[in-house]
Amino acid sequence: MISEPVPDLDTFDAPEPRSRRLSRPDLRPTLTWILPPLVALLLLAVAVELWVRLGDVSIWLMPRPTAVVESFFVDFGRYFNEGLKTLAVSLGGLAIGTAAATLLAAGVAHSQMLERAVLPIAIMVKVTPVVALIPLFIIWLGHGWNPKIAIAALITYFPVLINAIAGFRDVDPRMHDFFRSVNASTWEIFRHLRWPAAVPYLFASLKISVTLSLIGAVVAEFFLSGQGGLGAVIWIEQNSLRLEQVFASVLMLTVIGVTLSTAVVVAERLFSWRLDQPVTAS
Amino acid sequence: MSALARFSNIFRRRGVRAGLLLLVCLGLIGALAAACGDSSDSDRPGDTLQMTYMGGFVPQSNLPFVAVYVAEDQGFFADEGLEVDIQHAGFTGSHKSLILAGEIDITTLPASEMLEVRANSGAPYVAVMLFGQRGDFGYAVLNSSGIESPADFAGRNVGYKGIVQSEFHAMLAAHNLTTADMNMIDVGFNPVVLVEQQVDVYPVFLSNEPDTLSRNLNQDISVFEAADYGVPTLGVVYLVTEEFLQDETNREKLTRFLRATVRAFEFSVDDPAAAIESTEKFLAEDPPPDLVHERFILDTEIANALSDLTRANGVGWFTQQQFRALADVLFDYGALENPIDVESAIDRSFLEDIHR
Repeated sequence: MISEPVPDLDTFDAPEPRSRRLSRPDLRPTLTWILPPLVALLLLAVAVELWVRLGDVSIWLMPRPTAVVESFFVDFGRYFNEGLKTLAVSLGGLAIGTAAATLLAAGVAHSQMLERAVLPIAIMVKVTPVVALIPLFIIWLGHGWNPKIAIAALITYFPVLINAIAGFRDVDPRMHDFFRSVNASTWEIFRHLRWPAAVPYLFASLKISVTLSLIGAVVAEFFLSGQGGLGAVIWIEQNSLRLEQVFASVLMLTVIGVTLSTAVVVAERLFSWRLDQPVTAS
Repeated sequence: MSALARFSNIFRRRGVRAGLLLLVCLGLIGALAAACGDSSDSDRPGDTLQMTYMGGFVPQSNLPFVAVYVAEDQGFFADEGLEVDIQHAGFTGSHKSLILAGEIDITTLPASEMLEVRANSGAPYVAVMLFGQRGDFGYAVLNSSGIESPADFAGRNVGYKGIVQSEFHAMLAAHNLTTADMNMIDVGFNPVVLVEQQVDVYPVFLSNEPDTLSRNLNQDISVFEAADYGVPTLGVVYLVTEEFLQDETNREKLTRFLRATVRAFEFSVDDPAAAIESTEKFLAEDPPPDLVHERFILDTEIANALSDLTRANGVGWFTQQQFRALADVLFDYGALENPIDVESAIDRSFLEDIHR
């Protein structure tokens, strides 16, 4: 009888996930990275400015981009402070939604029965318009930050759930068989095989969810406008027909959204690079 | 043959004589019609005019909407030679912008909101007719709460919908209170928070939410109104823009529109059941409208639209003093960021002509 040595799973070098990984994080912002969107945004603003000025468009329907930018800088402190509130709601919702979806996906990846039981409910919640749920969330969760965070979480969980399930299942069957053959526990298979495989999927879903969480936060703030946030500013200024302030708030949301998306990209590169390093026993 | 004889010969030809006779008859008919028109409606041009009206919410039995539905359904607009395109802004609030862009001719807005947007954003709104002689906001409490007047709000959980209304501040001031004396909670738009006692005081739209609370949610409630404590409040107005009023054709359109809606307003006061029948044709069919609720809305708004002022001068009437007093309250509590020239924000000349 031939016996093979059982590898130490703590020092096992996890297999390369199927998606491409960078071996080193390249975090330097380059001109080719920053310039194209800035030029595109500038061209769009110029086009709108010309359209409003030359097309005799009513200022009550579309403000001039120059007026929006002026409002943005003149009232920057206000937009920044309200933006922080929206950011807090957004990140809170994103964290809860992502954690819950990842845990659920981990369970679903291991159990077809759980998948059959849970996925229809997840889809039902997904297709329910969150706007219809906000008044109920206010009653259930109180009148503070909780319902807003819950809405942001609700709107973000689904992309993470679907991607995470796919990621946890995207393991090489031969490797899975190998882990089984060496009597690896479910936890060890999860930690060394499924989790590394799911990371690229999780980051892909986070790129979607991070902006969705902002949308969820803003929509919730429409309903609870007394507590501030950029959604409240948009609602109040829209009611007063101050469109420059409305669009300046949207500009601040854009800044936050781009910052969050960039943070996810940077985190992905850092995390992927770290995963690429040989795992050593702790 | 002389020229006269030649003309006489031509006249004797049968066809020419018949044609001349026809011309004379047509001339006589035309003259008669013109004379009749002059005697019945001397200031109305014969042309039919088109106009676009946009209600500031979804179709329902609010009096400013009902007046338009009834005027259309009962033929009052047609009598005025007016074709009105009736639209609604739904929940969007787009009517406030569309009227400034000239996309619609006339719309509705609460007087306080009209003054706020005019003062804070410079929107050239002009109110031409007033429906609510009192504001359309109230403050509901459960009868079991032990609250018997706004003085009892102290120490309680008091709800507000996004913004604390100036009239609420003024009502508290009349009882030597401020919002610092109570726990203010942003409650959104769901009266269940009162039923669940998450708040002790819930701000309501007088025309519909008290009915929802008492009939649909089976609660015994009391409603406090700022107007009952000496606070000047006003309801919904019809409004146009300064630019709209500079055009003579628009002024003619507006005169006809207001004449027809004043007539519909009076019709609704005299026969609210018939007004609801007309209104039903404009309500969404699915789900079927709750006509009891619609009647509650109409009855509430009719009661708020009639006062000694309207009984003396006619429905829709308003004074500069009413708007001045309202603007002062709004300014005192910060809703108006700039003082406002009330005189330029209202134009009663159309109503004066109609009620003359």
